[in-house]
Amino acid sequence: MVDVPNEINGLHCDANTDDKQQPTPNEQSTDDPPRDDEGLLLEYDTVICGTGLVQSILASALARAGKSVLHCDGSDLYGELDAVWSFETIEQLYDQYGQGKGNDEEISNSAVDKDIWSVPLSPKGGLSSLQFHSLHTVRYFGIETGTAVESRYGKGTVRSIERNQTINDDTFTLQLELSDWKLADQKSPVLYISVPSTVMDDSVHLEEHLHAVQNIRSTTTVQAEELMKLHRFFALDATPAFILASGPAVQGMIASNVADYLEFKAVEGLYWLEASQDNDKNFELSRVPCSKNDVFGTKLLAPMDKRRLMKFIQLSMDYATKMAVAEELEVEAMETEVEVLSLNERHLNQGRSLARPQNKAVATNDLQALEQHMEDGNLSFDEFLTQNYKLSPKLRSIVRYALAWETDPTSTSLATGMLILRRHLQALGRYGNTAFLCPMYGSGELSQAFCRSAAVFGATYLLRRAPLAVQYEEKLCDDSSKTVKGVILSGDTGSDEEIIKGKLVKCSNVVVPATALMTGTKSTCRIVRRLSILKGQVIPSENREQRYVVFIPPNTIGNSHAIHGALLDRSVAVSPFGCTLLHLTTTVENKNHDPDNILEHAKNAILTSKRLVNNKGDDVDSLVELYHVTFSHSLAQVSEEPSDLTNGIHICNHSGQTLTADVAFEQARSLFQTICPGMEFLGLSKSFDEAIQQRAREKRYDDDEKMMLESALSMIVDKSANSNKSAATTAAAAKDVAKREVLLDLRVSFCERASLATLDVT
Amino acid sequence: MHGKKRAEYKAQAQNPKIAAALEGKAEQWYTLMKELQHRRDNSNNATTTETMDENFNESTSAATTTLMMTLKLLEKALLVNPDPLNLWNHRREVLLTMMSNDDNDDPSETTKIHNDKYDKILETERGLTQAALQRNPKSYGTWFHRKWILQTIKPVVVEAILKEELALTTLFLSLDERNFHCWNYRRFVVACMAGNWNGDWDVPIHKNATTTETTTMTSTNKLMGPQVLPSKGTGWDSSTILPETLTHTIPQALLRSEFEFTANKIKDNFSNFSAFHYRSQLLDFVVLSDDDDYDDQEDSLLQEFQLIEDAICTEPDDQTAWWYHAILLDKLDGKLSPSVKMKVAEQADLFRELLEDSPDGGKWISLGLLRVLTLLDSKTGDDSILEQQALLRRLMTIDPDRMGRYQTMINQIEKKVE
Repeated sequence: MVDVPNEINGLHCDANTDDKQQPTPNEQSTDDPPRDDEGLLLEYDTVICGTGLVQSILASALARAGKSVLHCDGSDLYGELDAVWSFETIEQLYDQYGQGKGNDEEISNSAVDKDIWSVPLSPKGGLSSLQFHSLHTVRYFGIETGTAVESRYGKGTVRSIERNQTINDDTFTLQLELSDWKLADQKSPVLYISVPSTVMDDSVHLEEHLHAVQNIRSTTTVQAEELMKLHRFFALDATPAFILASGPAVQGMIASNVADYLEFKAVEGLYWLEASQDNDKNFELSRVPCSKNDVFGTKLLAPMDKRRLMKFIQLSMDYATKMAVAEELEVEAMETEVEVLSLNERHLNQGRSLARPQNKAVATNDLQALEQHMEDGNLSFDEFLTQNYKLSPKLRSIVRYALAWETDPTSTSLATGMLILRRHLQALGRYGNTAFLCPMYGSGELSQAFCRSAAVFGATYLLRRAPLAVQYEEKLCDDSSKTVKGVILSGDTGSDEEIIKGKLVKCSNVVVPATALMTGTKSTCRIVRRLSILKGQVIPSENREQRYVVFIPPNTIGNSHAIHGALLDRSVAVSPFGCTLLHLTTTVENKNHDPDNILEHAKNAILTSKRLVNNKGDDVDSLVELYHVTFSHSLAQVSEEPSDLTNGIHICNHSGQTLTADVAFEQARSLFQTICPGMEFLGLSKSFDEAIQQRAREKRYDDDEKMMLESALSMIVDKSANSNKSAATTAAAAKDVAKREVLLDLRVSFCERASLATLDVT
Repeated sequence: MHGKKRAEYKAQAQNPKIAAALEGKAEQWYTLMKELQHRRDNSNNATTTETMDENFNESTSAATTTLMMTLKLLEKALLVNPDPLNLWNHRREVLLTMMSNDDNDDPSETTKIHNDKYDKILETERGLTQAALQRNPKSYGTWFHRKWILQTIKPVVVEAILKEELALTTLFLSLDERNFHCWNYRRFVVACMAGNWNGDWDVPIHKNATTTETTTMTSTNKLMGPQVLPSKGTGWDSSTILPETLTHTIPQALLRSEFEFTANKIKDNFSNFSAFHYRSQLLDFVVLSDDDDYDDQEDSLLQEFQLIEDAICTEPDDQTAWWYHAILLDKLDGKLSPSVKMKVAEQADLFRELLEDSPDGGKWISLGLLRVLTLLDSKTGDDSILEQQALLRRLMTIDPDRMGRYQTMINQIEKKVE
């Protein structure tokens, strides 16, 4: 699961050998281009530095467009900040980037001469601003009165811990009832253990002592240890990302067929954390109302609030539909293809999640008012919600933070807010209850899948070879003074101890992550993430699966920005059974803010919160954190992009605190369009497309109709043939039995088809 | 066919290969239909002539093989297309002939063998209808046939089979919660279960029926089978004294679980007339049942009002909840306990607020408010009358198609005032 990198690992790999599925568009025919002793081309169209998601998508798109691509990364695993980490990786990274270690400013890059003809790059690439804040595995969960424990005599329960009465003797006596045994009087034996008072300061200390002296540990501790031993079952995402059920990511993956490499499951629900009304210290988790039925069923809102929220959501939906039609018409005008989905069909796609009843028309006036405000640009999103829809503060924050995914307490413009809301609503009702899909085996699979598909189309991959600098040269013919000449790669030791030297790879375009550029001002804005492994399930659900998103609006637990939480478990193959991963993400602007602390609070608030859905208590009690790691990285803002850079250097940014990977697709698309203007982004080759259509045709459903009819007709023919010879009745009967079996088979196939149909629906 | 472009689909039929295949299939279908029609004609003639055949035994065994063959052909045809009613009728004819043959000429057979035979038929028919329903879950003929076979055979191990049937409808309704065929069938199954509870098969539950005798089969009854429904006319009337025997034989637990089932389906998608209809039928047994503790009843009534409010506020233009509201108010029939009355008065305020919120519409809100006001009428007096008239006038402008009706209503109010 986590080992996919090895598939196209190695010093370099021309992946045609790796995957014979697809002939490359620029298939190396008889006249192979010249290569150097390492097997690299003498010149590439594009060198892409770092294997983050944006770069990987771009690599795949460029390779498909027939460009020669060299994709390199200083690390030995794919994905940079979009990677899936294992415990070992995190430990290594913690050593390297842990608190107070390795500030990237201090690294001087001696290998590269600094001059005006080269821009140095951090050898750490996209990871250069990474910093770890804490890493902790909980070893003991503490022993108190009533704790279930395991001892060398079997299981038991702590009955009491009492101070001894004698004055001289400052010890405690712990009574342990051993439930595995029964004495003659039907009672369990009790073990008396003397404990020095020095270890009585807290329950964890006591357990530590008891473990050392008596080999007694609490059951939770033992179970936790068992779970953590299953480290191969964990896929720890550096950046957990969802994708919208209908958006650029899905389009891109379908068009490029990269979706074949991946599996997804729909997110089950969105949740909202807020302080209880009666007590600020207590928190409640409740479902975010985003579809009609959510609004209908939620206990979060009063009837009139429901009305106002629905009114606004339906307006947004009308707006989304209108924009989608407009976009389609635009595409149509470009492609001169006369195929537009009817409005009706679009509604079908959105399911019944928001559609109005048939007798209700679109509120044209409201729509016009909205568009007018968007044009004027005089209102912020928040102001619009307040003034035009009279939404209560609570509703406003639900709309802003949970439906339009704002993070900053200062509201965005109306246009931006509506754009994101539109995306969200358009993706509703496609699969399951929410707009989100969650990749199986971790979000890091996304970048790996795209790297793989790039390799299939002929891109060259180099890991453990960090790009160290971009070199320029002067082009006399051009107005701008500098163009990219190439990239200097670091050296490495090969597998057989052969030393490979660093060298200059010529190319005309370079893509570098913003954080790797050592020039330019550093942003004070940092993305902080905390990854917790929890024992038990957080949100009680019938199918016992955890795929949820949690929103914590600003100022709920002293957080300046909204916090996004993701709860994932074995159902998407990121944890072993009995565990839930909790990813928390927030943005911190001020360095003085202790990022570790905020997310710790957030974790506690979620774990102790009252969950509104059938709170059964048993799971909630046993919910404990087994492990956590907190890290942060800076968020390079788009505005920081040095505008005076030379032709041919392209900068990409990590998506930051966005919930979805769709942002990365959009960024990759815009980069692609600057490098290859006018070409198709992530298209599928013709031959591939035909093969797929052929496959679909072969699976035509009404084949069984034909079989059924044929068997019926054969019976008629049989009958007329048999009418003369009555002796053949037994044979006919035998035949009938055989046919009966065919019929049964068919019935099975009917059932299968029905279940297929269900799958389509869900 | 959803999500498939029509042009693409049509273009496929243009493809000579596919077109030929389709044509071939049509050809086969016609041959099969012809053969079946032929068989049906033959058997109709045979019943008149063949009865006094000399070689009685031999001919019946030959006839049985023919019948079996016909059944098989019908099975295949129906699996390809479950819609033609004539095929189902034919099938029923064949089945009835076979059953009557069995009854006549096998006096020696023990009842056990007899039952086994019937069970086998039942199983085959259930299998066939299930497969056919998976092809087309909204085929009238198939659903009817399934009811028919259950009623005709009256299986011995009824309870297990009916439970399976109930589970099947649950499955179907989870796939499409608005399939009214399936809701109808579910109500049939529940009625059978309730009848079975009484040790009988046919008794439809009539809450206020005065006797336990089987009511005469009305045309609805024939078409839909027994249904759980309260008797017409009387409505909720606490003064009617129920015969002891009947109230106790109505399986309350079953009806309650059905009531809960409708609640869940409404939670999934409240724009569901079938679910609300069923719920309104069950109201009499569950919420408005006389056995109930008084407080309990009040509580569940308030819950119903809450459900309606939630639906209305989410989507005031959806008629479903409004109709349910009207039914509920009708059933209350002016008998309001103080707390229910307070709730209804609160609702009037909510509807007024909603009405303000929709300046140029609100037909259903106006009608709902009107209903509430009429219910509260007795005490609130003149203001209420004025408001009602204003509402009706408003309705006349919003909904000019029913202007006459609203005018009549205004006239009625005026008459009442005088």
